[in-house]
Amino acid sequence: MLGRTAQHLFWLSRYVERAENMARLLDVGYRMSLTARREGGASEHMLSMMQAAEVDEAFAEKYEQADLDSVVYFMMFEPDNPSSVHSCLLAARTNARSVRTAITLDMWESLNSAWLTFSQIKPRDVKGAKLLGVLQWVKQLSHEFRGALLGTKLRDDGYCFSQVGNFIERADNTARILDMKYYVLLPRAKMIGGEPRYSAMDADLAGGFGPSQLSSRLS
Amino acid sequence: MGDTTPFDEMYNADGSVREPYSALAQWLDEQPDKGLSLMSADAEAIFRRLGITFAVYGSDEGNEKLIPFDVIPRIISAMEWRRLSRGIEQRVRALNAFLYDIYHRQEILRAGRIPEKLILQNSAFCPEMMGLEPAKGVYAHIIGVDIVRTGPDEFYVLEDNLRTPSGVSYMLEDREAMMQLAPDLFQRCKVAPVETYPENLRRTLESVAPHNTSGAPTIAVLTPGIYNSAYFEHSFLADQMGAQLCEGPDLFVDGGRVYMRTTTGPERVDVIYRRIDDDYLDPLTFRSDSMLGVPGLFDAYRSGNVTLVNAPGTGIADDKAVYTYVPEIVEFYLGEKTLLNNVPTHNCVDSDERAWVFDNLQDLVVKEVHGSGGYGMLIGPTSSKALREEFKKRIEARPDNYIVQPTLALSTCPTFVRSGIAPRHVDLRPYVLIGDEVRITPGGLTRVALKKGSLVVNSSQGGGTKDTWVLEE
Repeated sequence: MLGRTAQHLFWLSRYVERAENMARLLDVGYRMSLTARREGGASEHMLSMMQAAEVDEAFAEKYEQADLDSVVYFMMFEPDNPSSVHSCLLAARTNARSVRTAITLDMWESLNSAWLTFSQIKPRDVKGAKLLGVLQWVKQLSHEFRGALLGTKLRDDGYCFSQVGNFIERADNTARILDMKYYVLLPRAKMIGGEPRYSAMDADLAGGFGPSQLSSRLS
Repeated sequence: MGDTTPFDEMYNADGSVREPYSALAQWLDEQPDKGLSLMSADAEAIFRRLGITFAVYGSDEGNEKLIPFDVIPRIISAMEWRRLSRGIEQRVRALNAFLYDIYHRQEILRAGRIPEKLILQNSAFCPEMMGLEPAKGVYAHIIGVDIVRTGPDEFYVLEDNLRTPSGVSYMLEDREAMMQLAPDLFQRCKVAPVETYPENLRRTLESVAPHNTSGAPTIAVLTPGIYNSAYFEHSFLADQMGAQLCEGPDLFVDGGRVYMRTTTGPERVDVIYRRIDDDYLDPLTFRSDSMLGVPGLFDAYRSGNVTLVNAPGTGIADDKAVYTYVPEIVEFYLGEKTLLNNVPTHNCVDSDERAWVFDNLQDLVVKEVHGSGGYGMLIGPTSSKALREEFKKRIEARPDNYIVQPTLALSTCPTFVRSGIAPRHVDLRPYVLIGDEVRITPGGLTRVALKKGSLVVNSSQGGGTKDTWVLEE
């Protein structure tokens, strides 16, 4: 297998997994914001969710306030946000297009039709109650792709590279969520044994989510 | 010529159905009212889902488009096909012999049958190829011959495409779609298969592997990448052949041999079906700014360690100015009369001829010698006066850059358009493979001009495609 093919397969899976993770985070952030009692609490939930996705700084460059509409737009459609569902699906499809010979027809069709359907979705289609339905669909397209991968892909090196991409992305996201839960949402870091200590390598593995971004939030 | 009714592939002048189309005519009669429009919508969904797209350069609406597919097939009888394929085979053999000669002893120039200037000063002539011995003596392994029809027995070759012709994936996908859409129609007609093309392509490529290949040859398809207009086809063919789809940076040359970079180290490549132009193949030999090619590739080719398909420099045989000499070429190398006619072609270099061209411009077609894809063309009967004047100026400035042909009354074929079934002009591009033997896929790609009266069938100009059937006896 070409080295380039391995690279595309790796990123292809990563981006599909990331699209799903973004949908899940947005789902949680949205639900939490609905039940926020305090004033400004909704916005805080949204911000913490974007921190978990590590897109809060990019968001702050574009918007002053984290209101629901702008956060949903930023997470779903923003082309400048490399982790928006739009960007993830486009990147996944572009990677797939580059290695069409290395993936099965079923994998390609699931991605291509996901992208075609997504390009028809407009911001007004995710307003209010419709948002959860669309997020559910994003999760399902990721399931469908994974199903096609598991069900039709030969168990060769390409399969392994796909899986590595998938699991690294998942581990990365899991680590961020844990970070968030322990060091941002908890009132005091001491409750769970003090401040985090990252070595340079850990920070790298966690996608650059290092102590510098966290410190402001730590008590 | 514009006012006579052109030959129709399906109906005789008296309205009766021509024999090869009888089963189709009956089938069309049986279709319910909305049948064809539902089928068209299904076809579009199939193509979109499969991602069978092409890119139109300079178009604003996104960079991927579908080529419209027409659900009414174009049908060629066994007898018509026998005649066509004999003519095609003769032509491609002669053109390969011509290429061998041009890049060796140049007998045809010494014999004075073709002016030396036309070849040696032609930008399509590739001096780097002089004296090189390609495997099996074949230069152009893959040829698409553009053929138009003007009457029951009148076929003309419009162009021989020897520089990596595209469109063969549409031939295959059109058939696939048609079989999904109208399986019952296939049960009534005996249609010759086209699905053998990828296997035949593989065989052809393997048959021209370098002599020093050990074991089964490794084949790579070299593509400029996903932003090329024909990328779908590159990946499709690589997939169907089980070959590697490579971009320039995936390959490198070491010790005069070509390797690809794989996850398990370098792997030698024996045959490269390249879908990038000569100029971009190798920055060390051709254009130095090329990012698409492989440095050192041409030297490896010259040393006989890899085969390039098609060979560089084949463009000299499909140059529009050389085209006029194809009948000479066939006679010179094969000692035969050409079986397929050329369209009568005028050049504008001679001042008498130019004056005649200018007087009759409204009936003629003007093409750029190096143009393709329907760009830079003048179609007299549908052109404005201003455009004709503009072309006169251009021709005056560079007479050798243009050729002029009569406007042919291309045959029409019933086509499903918005207003129902109506005749539209079609052409035909059969695909020929040349290696250890000549393999012609029965049928080819039929392109159809969807605009009423239009004669331009190029997909970049709003043309569509049809599945093309060759009936078996």
